[in-house]
Amino acid sequence: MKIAITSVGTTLEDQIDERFGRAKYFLVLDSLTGDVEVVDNSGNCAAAQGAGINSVQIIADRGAEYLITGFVGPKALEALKKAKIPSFEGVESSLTCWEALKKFKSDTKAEVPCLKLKGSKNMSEKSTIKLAIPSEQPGGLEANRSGHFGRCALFTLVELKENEIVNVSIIENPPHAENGCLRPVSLLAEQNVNAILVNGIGGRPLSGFNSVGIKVYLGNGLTVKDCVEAYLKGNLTTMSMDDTCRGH
Amino acid sequence: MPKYTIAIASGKGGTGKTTFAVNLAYVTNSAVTLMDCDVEAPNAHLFLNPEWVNSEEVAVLNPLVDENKCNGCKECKNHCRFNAIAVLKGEPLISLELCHSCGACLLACPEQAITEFKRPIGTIKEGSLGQIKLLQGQLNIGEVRSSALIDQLRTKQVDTDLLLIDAPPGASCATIAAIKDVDFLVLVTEPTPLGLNDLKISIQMAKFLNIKIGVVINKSDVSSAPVREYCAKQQIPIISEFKFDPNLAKVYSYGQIIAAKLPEYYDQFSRTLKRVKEMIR
Repeated sequence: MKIAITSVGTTLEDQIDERFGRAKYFLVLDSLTGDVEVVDNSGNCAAAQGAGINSVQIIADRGAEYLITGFVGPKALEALKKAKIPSFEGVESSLTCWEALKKFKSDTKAEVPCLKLKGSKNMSEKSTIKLAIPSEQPGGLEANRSGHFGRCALFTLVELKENEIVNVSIIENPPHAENGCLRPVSLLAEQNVNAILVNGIGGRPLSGFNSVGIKVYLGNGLTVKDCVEAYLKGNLTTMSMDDTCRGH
Repeated sequence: MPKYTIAIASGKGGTGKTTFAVNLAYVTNSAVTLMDCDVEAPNAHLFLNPEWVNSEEVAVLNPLVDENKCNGCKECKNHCRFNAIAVLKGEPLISLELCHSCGACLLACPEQAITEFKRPIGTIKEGSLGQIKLLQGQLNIGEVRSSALIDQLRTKQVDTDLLLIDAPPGASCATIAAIKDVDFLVLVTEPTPLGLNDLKISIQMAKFLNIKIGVVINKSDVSSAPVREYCAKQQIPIISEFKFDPNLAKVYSYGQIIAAKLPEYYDQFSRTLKRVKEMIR
């Protein structure tokens, strides 16, 4: 899902621009990938008229399905209706785009699939956390964790709510093809996974996880359960590029 | 074609444009046309109580898209310099408020999917009182295309030697539509900080349009000095000063013509008109 946000700057850390038609920038966020397209709107800022309508054209052309902003004028509103882009208005300029996104999510209860944001501050901090642990057959809490991330048989997914395990599920890991290190990344991102616990991972998948906002934790442990407990106790360290295995 | 076309304008509202224009028309004493271009709130007729002889609807052309022919290519949008068109979900959306009726989208459309339709925006009425002929534009409620209506009003044929134009207040498109190509522009002001501030804006506008101007200070009193000083510095003639006078206000408040009720003002308006005519020559 693509969400357009009016901003005074070029990153999600910048403040919201309360104006829609004459906003300085549009940030078009792809909630699936976390990618943000920055659109400079200075042309409309200086327009004698019709800035609202033209701005709708700009965000519609970039595939926006939702708009977060301060105020939309009547002409722009009509155009938004035609473009079938609902708007979430009334956001104050004291909020950053991040905070506006959170407010949008909590106020509208909008179903935003996989709202993962690069470098985040995860959106689902307060709700459930979903951990992925590379596992050996047959998977589950009692199964042994797998030492090899890319070639593990399956992933055990453990959902935590307020530090309690609320659900455990298992997904298959597709066979590791040549240059296939990134496949598990998209697989886990689709499952709305927030963090993965490994005891080794290559540089390419690590940066892949970083880019979709999945945290990578490093730690030892025999079973899946051991890993989850270590996570809950805060005994795991997050992984940096220096810790990666070579050849991936 | 009139021999003299004189427009009366002011940056600030309520300085006395209409009063001045009506009285100037009254003291002409021969056939004169008064054009009320304050189309959002025309009120010269309140002083004249003319007999209305004609009324016609005014319309503008707006684009109409044949959705069966439109392929959503956005050429119309790309050629619209007024941002009046957006193409959303493959269909054009045209804002009639923003459209300036330029017709560029018709020419740009490769599918010939665009035609024009007439959209009424107001009325032009014609009335007369003695030797005064009144042409009045009245914009429809909620309509924004005041300049388009004024443009059409300005094309009306005028068969008198003198044409007086009562312009809308301000210095925007509508005012410019009313005063462009006139022989002389009278800027009516009042001796208040607001009056002076808006006078400065009007003077800039007139200079930009390269129109000969003169200033009339209405409700003039001890505080007129800054206006006089400013005009002297800018070398803009003050054609006349109408002193602050409760008698004048009283006649005005009854909707009566000042020059008709107060002889001393008849003379002052006469002199003012004569002076403007001399300045045109």
